Amino acid sequence: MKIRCLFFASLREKMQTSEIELEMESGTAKDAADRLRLLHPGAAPDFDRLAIALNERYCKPDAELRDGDVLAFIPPVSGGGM
Amino acid sequence: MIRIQAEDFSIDETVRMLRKTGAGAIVTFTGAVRETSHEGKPVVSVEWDAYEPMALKIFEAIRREAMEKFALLDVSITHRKGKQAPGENLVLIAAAAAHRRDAFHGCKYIMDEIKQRAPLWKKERLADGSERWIEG
Repeated sequence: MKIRCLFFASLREKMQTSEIELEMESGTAKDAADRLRLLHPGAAPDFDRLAIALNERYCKPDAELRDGDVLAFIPPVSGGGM
Repeated sequence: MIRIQAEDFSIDETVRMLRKTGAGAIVTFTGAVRETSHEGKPVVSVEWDAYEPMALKIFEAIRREAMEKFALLDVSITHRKGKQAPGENLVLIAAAAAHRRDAFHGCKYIMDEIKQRAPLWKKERLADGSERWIEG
């Protein structure tokens, strides 16, 4: 299955791209994150402090993935005023 | 109304829109770019990154929650994207209710929830040339 992975803010800069397509047999959001850690060891520690969204909704690390899913890796957010 | 936009917003226009609900109280919160960073260094600009489709969904969810919890008649949420200089507007929350207490509490609830849940990030550029993402 193909999983579209999106990166934002500092993580986008460390990954040097805003998205990657992962090819996986099966697995969870955490499995996808672990694959990305191996692909980009420099960004690996960042994955410990991220939230994950599956198809635009926050999800748990054990969420099962399906072909065509969009997985977003969300650093701590900082919207709004000061 | 729920919006993420590069251009500035009009507080008057938003309040005028919410007035149509017949509300007795309309509370607005405006967030702006500060002149200085947390360490007191001069800020030149802030620039936004957003997961826009998800942020809009979360704004809508927060809007609905607030309307239900505080008996609000209407809510408007506007967040800027792009780049802004100190003093410029960043965010506008407006909450309309029959009475002031609900409007104040509703407005605060919306802002607090946006800060915790909406996938938006600001990068601060300082006068000394440094820049950094504000995360968390």
